[in-house]
Amino acid sequence: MGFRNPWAYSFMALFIVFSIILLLINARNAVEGYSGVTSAMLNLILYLVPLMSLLLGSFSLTAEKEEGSWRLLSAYPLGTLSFIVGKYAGLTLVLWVIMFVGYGVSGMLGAVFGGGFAISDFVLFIAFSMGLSFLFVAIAMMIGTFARNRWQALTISVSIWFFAVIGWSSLLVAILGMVPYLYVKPALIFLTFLNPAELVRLFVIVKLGGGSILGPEYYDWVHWIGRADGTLWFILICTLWAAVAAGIAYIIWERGRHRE
Amino acid sequence: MIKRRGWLAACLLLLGVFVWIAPCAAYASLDKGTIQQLIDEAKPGDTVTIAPGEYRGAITIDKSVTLVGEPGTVIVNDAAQPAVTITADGVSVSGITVEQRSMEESTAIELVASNTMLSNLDIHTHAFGIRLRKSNRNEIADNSIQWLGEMSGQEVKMSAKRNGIDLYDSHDNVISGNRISSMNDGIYQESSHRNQVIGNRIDHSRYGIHCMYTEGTIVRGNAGNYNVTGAMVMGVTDAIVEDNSFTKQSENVNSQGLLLFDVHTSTIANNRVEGNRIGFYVEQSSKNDIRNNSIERNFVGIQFLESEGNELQANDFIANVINAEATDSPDNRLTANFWDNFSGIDADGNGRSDISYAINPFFQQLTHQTPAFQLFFQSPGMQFLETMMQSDRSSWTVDIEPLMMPAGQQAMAGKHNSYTFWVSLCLLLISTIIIYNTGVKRT
Repeated sequence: MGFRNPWAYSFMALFIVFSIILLLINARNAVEGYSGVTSAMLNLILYLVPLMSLLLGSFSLTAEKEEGSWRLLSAYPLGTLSFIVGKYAGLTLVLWVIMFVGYGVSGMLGAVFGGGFAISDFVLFIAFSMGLSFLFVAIAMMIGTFARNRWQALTISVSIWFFAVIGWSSLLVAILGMVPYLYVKPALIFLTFLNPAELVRLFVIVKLGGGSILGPEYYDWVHWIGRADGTLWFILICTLWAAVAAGIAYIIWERGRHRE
Repeated sequence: MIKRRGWLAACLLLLGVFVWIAPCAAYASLDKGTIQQLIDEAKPGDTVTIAPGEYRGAITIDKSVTLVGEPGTVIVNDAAQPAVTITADGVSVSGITVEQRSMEESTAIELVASNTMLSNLDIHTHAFGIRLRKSNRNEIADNSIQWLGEMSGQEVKMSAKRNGIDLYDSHDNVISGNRISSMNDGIYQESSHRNQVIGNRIDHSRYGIHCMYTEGTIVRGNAGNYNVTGAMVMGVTDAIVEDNSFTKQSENVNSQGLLLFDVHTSTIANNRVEGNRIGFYVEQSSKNDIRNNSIERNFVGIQFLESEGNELQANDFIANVINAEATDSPDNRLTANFWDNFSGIDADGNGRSDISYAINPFFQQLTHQTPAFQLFFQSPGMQFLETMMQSDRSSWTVDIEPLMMPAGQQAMAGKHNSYTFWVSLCLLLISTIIIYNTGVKRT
């Protein structure tokens, strides 16, 4: 599986360094709940995890095409669906293991030397990273399907990462400036559901108790996510998201298989 | 089913009758109007001691007597008028539990008198707690006021409640050491001057302390938590707000630690605002002196709107999600505050940075035009956009020489968290097993 791929190990090293950086930031001012420190950490996670997921995921699929192992597999009685689902599950697991190692190391160091995370925040960060990678691997599956080779996959991955994470608010502020005022909020909510980075970020902010900072506009939403069944709904939405993305990938692979 | 319900009802009825009869039987001689009779018989200057028991309201005190309740003295009032009305000067009341049960617009204690002393009263009310009208130089100390029925879990809308202590056109009063819970406004003062609010504790109310059009008010050493807003000061000049602590006002979308609106030439010093939605909210206020406050772990530390000429000095801004926001607020002087998200350079070693700290107003302006964009609060993309919006820097609010270290004492929490250790250990174990089984073993 993925652990024979040297990429996985270099990402693991990167993530360990990264999580120790998080630990050092946290140690400067150990705080529970939503604060300047947790907000900075969320943003750091938001930069790295999607990029890691997109690259690892899309490369894994394009490698199958480039190295011809998919052609070989097509000759076997292996369903395309099993192939896609297997890829998806495997890649998600690889990413989760990478994170477990990273967080495990920094959590241990923090617990031993002091200045570590509070348990509730720690668990929430892990869940946040797991959710992010789960959703972004789904996008990576689509990229891997459309891209012909690794170079294409890299280009698409980086541009999607840039627009989802960094350029997102600039993009929306620019576009929604042209929309009639009344439609701004519905459009914004709709678009937020399309961007897993925003979706997961807002969910975590509310769960950290920072919901009221979003203002009166989102009072009902915040209340709804804050409840216990809000978490269930969130998981359901994420699953739906992943299923749709993986479904699209499946359909396109299936077509390609029959053409050959 | 019906049979069982009938049986239950009968039981409840019996219990009710018993509870109702019990005190009446025990204090048969002390029936309705007894306290009133004692007051009527007393001469000015007398001390009237009341034996424990439940009495029916309402009573009026119209001469300067001292009323002392022995432990267990309860006055219950179902009528629409106040349970206790004080109309004479120099009255003192202490040690009584007052239950104002009527939902009508009324109050547990009505004060239309001066030089009164109200202390150690335990007030449960469905209306106001203590109401002062044209009453001066009174002392209200160490009382407890809370909304009646809050314990039984009845949800009452905040707007349906009334204020704990309510002053109108009443001057030079001292309100100290009271504990107020689950009311509308804890302590409300309107058109009342030179009152001192000292060392009170207020929680789960709308505004802890609310000042409207007052002069020379002193708010000192109070604590507020879980209110919508700790203290709301509006239309006030020359107030002193110091040594207060306002924490955990974050649940409501309009929550603040301290709200200053139309406040001028006042001193706001040595307060601690922690874990609020907005620590200090300053709107249309000028020439105030805000110093030595500790502003920690709020979503927004301090927010200026259309405020000018304020002096902000030696405050500590620590672990706020956003330390400060300012719009349309020129000429505020920020000097020597500590900002935890700013790394200064101190070449001359005087403890102050040689480079200044500027507050970017971009996000505040954006959300002011379109509140829906509040969704981008501190998102990575928004921070990226903010760093690009650097034009017109000269109009930004700037701290000229920020402190290198916090001005106040800082308790650093060095947590040794054993749960985190075990969770981390589990994570490492799981990942090692997976890597070994899928990666290493097969090659």
